[in-house]
Amino acid sequence: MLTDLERLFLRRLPCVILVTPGTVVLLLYGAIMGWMDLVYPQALFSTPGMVSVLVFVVTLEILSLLYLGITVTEFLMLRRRHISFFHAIRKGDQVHTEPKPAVLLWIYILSTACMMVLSILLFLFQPHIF
Amino acid sequence: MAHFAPSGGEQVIRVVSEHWIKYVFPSFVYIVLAGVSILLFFLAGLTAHHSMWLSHLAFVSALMLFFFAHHWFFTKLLGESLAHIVVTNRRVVWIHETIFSREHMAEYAFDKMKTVAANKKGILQNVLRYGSIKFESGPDILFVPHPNSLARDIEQAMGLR
Repeated sequence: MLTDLERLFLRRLPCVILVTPGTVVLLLYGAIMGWMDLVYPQALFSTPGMVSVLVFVVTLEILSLLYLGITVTEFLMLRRRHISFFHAIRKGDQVHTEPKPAVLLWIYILSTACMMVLSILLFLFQPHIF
Repeated sequence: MAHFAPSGGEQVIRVVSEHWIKYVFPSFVYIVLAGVSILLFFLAGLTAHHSMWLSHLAFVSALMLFFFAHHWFFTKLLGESLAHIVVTNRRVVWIHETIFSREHMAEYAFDKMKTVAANKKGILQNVLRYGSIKFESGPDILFVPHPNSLARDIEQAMGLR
C-alpha cells in the first residue's frame, strides 16, 4: 500500500524526470553555446589538469545523484514502515502524518539539483577560459 | 516493527515529535562547512589567472566539501524527522531511527514501569521548553517538547492520576 507521500512522489515523478533533466539540458546547451561564442571549447581539454578536473566533476555529479537516489529510497522505506506501524496501532483511524518530512524531501531533491547545475556552470565559466 | 505490533484494545493517546533543538547543531555545522567551501570557490576564482593547479585544487576541494556537507546535512535531517514518541494506554514507544546508521525503537510497557519523571536541566531547556523523560529502566527519552505535560499524560495512562 502506497502512502500519500509516495503517491505524490510517483505522480510527479514523470514531470521531474522529463522537466528537470530537460531544463538542465536546455540550460547547459544555452550556456555551452554562449560559452563557445566567448571562448574556445578545447580549453576544457587543453591541459592534463583541466581534463582531470572535468573527469572529477562529472564523477562527483554522478555519485551525488546515486547517493540522492539511495537516500530517498531508504527514507521512503522507513517512512512507509512508520506509517504502517501507526495504521496498525490506530486501527484504521486517520493517521497523523507530519508534513515536515515531505517538505524536507523536496527541499533536498531540488537543492541537490540546483547545486549540480550551479557546480557545472561554475566549472564551465572558469575565469581563465574567457 | 513486528516486535512492537499492537495488541487488542490499545489506543493512542499522543504522538509527539522531538524538539527542533536537535536540528540546531547539524545546521550550524552545515553553515560552517558551506561557508568554507564558498571561500574555496572564491579562492579558485581568484587564483585562476595566476596559479592553475592551486585553482583546480581549490575548486575540487570546494566541490567535494560542499557535496559532503549537503548530503550529510539532509541525511541527518531526514533521519531525525522520523523520530516520534508514541504514548498509548499500555506503553510508550520511542521511535528513533537514522538513515543508514541506526534503527532504534524503545518500548516502555506500563505493566513493567510504574513511575515516570520529567527533567529539564539548565537555562536553555527551561527557556525553550524541552527536556527528557526518565523511566525506571531503559534509556531516557531525549529532546521531548513540554516534558511535564507528556509525563502527566503518561501518568494518566498508567493510572497513577
